[in-house]
Amino acid sequence: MTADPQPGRRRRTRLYALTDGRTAASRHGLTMDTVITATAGTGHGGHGSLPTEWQEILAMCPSPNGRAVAEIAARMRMRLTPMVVLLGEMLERGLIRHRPPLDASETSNVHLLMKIRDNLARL
Amino acid sequence: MPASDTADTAGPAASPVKILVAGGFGVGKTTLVEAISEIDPLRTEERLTSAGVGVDDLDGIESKTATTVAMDFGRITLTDAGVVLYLFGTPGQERFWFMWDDLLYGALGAIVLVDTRRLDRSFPAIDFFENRGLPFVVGANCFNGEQPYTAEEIKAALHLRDPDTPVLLLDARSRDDVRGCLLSLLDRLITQAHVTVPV
Repeated sequence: MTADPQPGRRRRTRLYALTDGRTAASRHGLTMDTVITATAGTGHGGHGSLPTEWQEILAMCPSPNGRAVAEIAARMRMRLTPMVVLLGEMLERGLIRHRPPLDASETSNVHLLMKIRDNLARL
Repeated sequence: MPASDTADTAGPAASPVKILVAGGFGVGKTTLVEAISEIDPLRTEERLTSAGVGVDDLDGIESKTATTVAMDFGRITLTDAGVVLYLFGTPGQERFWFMWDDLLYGALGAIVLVDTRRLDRSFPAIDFFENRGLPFVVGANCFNGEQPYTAEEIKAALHLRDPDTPVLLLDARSRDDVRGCLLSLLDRLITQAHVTVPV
């Protein structure tokens, strides 16, 4: 089952169809600010057999910059939790890579904070 | 585990970091995000259910306490620093934040935006960040470019636990003001990092 491709009149695809029946929370620790990139070669229509939603996600997350989970969810008009489940499935299939947010030891690093400050000041 | 294998090699170029923008409804959180974000603000939603809801109990699930919280957010790519900074405008229903660990995890700090005509609406956000130990600065949004109070008066009225917490007067529509507010937060973080980790 795939979504109606017509923009504006899109049918709401059942969550279990998008996630292959998986409804448990993701085991991958994907948070709203985890950044996702498509694995090399997946973002250019080479996966015609994949669900439309998956292809859309791959197309919007080209390497090297990608997009955050929250941004993908917003652009796909999905809530965060189902998007995290879907991305977890894509991660397991090797379609995407992820970079988690920096942890507390890194975000309290003076050198990193000063680099962020300098970069902000030059905006 | 593919999860750990894919996290490092040839993954996303920049590390995500996050700053929260909190404050009462209508105080200008999204306006502030829009002023500095490189993309038009986006909205994401999450459905939060009250603690203790049994997932196996299929009867009456619709009657369980649940609420949808929405967040508007934007981003700033800081190439030289190797980070992508996400600004998340936190939802107005502060009483639900405690259920949302994602919100605080990995956050650098926060901006608490206040409207001096409705100062009490910012108390929950200030209490929340003070209790969780997340560094923050206060931005007093000057609606119509006017602010009848001084930063000192606002600071006194907020009863901030840490008297060194910066209070800035700003116009949330002004890119320069918002950047100044972020720089003030970074200065505070740098000072605290020096204190925590003596060189």
